[in-house]
Amino acid sequence: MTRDDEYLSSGAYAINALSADEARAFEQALAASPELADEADELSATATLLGLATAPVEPPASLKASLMAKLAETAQDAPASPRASTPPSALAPSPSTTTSALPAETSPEPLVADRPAGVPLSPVAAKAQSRWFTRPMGVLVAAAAAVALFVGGGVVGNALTSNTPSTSQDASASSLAQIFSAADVKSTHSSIEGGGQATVVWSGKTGAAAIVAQGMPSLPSNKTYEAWFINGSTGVATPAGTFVPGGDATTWHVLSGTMTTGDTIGLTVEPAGGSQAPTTNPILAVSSAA
Amino acid sequence: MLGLIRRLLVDHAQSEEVTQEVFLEIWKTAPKFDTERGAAMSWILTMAHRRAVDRVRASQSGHDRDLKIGIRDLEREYDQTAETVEIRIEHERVKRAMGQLTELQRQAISLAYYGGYSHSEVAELLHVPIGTVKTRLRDGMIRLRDEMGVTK
Repeated sequence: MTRDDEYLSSGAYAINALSADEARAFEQALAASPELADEADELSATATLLGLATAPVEPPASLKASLMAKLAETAQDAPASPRASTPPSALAPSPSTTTSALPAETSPEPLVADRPAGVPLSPVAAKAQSRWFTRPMGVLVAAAAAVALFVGGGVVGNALTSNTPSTSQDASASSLAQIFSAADVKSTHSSIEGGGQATVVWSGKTGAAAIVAQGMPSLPSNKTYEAWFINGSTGVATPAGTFVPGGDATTWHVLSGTMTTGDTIGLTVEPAGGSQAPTTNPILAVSSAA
Repeated sequence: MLGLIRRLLVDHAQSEEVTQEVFLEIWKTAPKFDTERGAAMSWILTMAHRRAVDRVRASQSGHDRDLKIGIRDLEREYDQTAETVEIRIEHERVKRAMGQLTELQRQAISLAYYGGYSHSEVAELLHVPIGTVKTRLRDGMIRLRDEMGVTK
């Protein structure tokens, strides 16, 4: 390949339009030219945006179930370097986190133990669930994969880049993976009044819920977004944590506290620091009733 | 992810198979993933696209695909992207950026990325030399990169 040929192939390479042989030749050229490597990286990132533009498809329950079963039987590779593995202590919720974390997330046992005796997990599902959060580093990426699979499209954004404080993100990724791996996970996609989109995911059995938000406007510093569990029969709202959305980037927010099936998951704008009861009308309300 | 794979593989059973394959590969290699190399999402989608394209090319029906169908479906494919604009901001960004391309650049990129065609197949479809297709793909991708403000 001449230098010109190499440069000409960068677009085709980024969208997988080269044959296997040509792709190998291009990759060799990449190693020799940092300039070309930069261009290829940028065009690959551009190709990712094309991928995000496809319409999300809700995977059938059968696919989710068979995936979970297979995870239990698939061994994970060993981490490449010490940096790639997060010590278990890093999974402890950080006090400074804006994302509330569930107390149960550092250990898989409570989830299984909380299950009513009459509804045992199948051994395979239990194994799959424990794998979801006993591998600290894997779980961060697995959570991203779960979001990609179950929510569709352009999720994660700043939540998974290394320049965010990793502790709270690791913890919330673990909680999120826990929700997605629950046997009865449900999700609803809705628009937020005032701007933005939200996918609310929850599991009635584990009482855990999360909001995956995108495009929510920033609030002035004296205001905050606050989530609520609103009891289905009494109408009483219990605070479920305050959070700062990521603007255009998609971020997830695992709610604090325990949801009861039938609760409505709500979101309001409250004075900074949050309120004990909602003081404004909800901008999002999703019922978890079956 | 399933949406992207299904776009490339019309057959639902096949797209679920590939989704499963990609998901398991992600699961298996997740501990090796170096988060500093870029967002996980990008890695996942890149892998999903590559696997789906491999599948399209490997299957006999892939080789026998009526190239005319590719052309006929092109406009429909692009319209589908436009229809989903309301759902996600990414759609809006991509649609706007795609609008800045020349018709020929847009055709080449849509066929290659969403259709899974190789550059030589795209050349055959559009009746232009391979070198021209490479140029269009590169110029088009660079234009998209600039329109969407993608930087390292």
